[in-house]
Amino acid sequence: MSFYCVIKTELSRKKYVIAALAEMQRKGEITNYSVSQTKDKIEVDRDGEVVTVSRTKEAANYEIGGISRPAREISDRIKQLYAYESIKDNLPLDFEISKETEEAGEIHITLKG
Amino acid sequence: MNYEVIINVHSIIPVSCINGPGKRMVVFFQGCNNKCPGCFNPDTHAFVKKTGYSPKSLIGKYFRAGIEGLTVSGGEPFYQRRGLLQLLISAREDYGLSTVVYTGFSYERLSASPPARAILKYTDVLVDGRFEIAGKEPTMLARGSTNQRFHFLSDKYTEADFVMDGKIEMIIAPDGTITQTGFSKVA
Repeated sequence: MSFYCVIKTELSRKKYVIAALAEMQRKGEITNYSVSQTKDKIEVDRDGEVVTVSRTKEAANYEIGGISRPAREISDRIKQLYAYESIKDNLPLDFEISKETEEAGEIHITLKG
Repeated sequence: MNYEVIINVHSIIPVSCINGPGKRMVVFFQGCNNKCPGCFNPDTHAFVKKTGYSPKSLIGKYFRAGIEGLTVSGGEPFYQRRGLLQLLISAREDYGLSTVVYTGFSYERLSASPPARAILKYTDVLVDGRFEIAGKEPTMLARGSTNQRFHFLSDKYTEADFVMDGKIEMIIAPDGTITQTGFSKVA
């Protein structure tokens, strides 16, 4: 038997949120994003639809606010790329990525170890 | 009496690249009595109701174009023999899928049982044997421990087809949910 487990992604670390947004911008999925220097808040612009990524206190997770449709779509994609970036960044030393594919909206990562 | 068989399912992965040859749907049955120490999936052991599917509705709901086969894992699939048989028949006859079944029972024991023999007729590859933590599979072969044997019951595959690209697969869904599967775990 192979193993099976499911992990729900929570947006808890700013560096991976920003890494996800940078990747989305690189792929042309968002127009721009700007990180507030004074508040724990990031504004994301997708062709004029603006949503905010923010949290009320340091221990909380980031949440996406704004018009519901773009907020939901951008939130899902941020979570997906956040998961991808955090997996890559937190691999134990005895594992390495042997294959990566993105198909039908899913990212598949195969690890050797 | 004619009644619909319902399979008690722990979970389903619509597309996995590490549970046998090519892209495969993976169905984890719920319920197992083997209690192998160090089992990957203790959550599948209890004989409790999880999600029920008729075999045809299960494949119909999760089938994605481009997959080449169905892998049945668990839990112990042979505790739900009727459902397992109908699932394999539907996979092969309705969808043209190859079939791989993982079981803790030995091939010899299954072969001695007429109902199990009917299931083996619709199984391309049976991977048998309990998980033995002391003999964890060190290579990329798609099995948990080295005592487990591949029985090629049709000419569809050979052992080389069960050498995977890795030990672990992480599937990140469009909503960020991560599904981990494979024959090792990230600590």
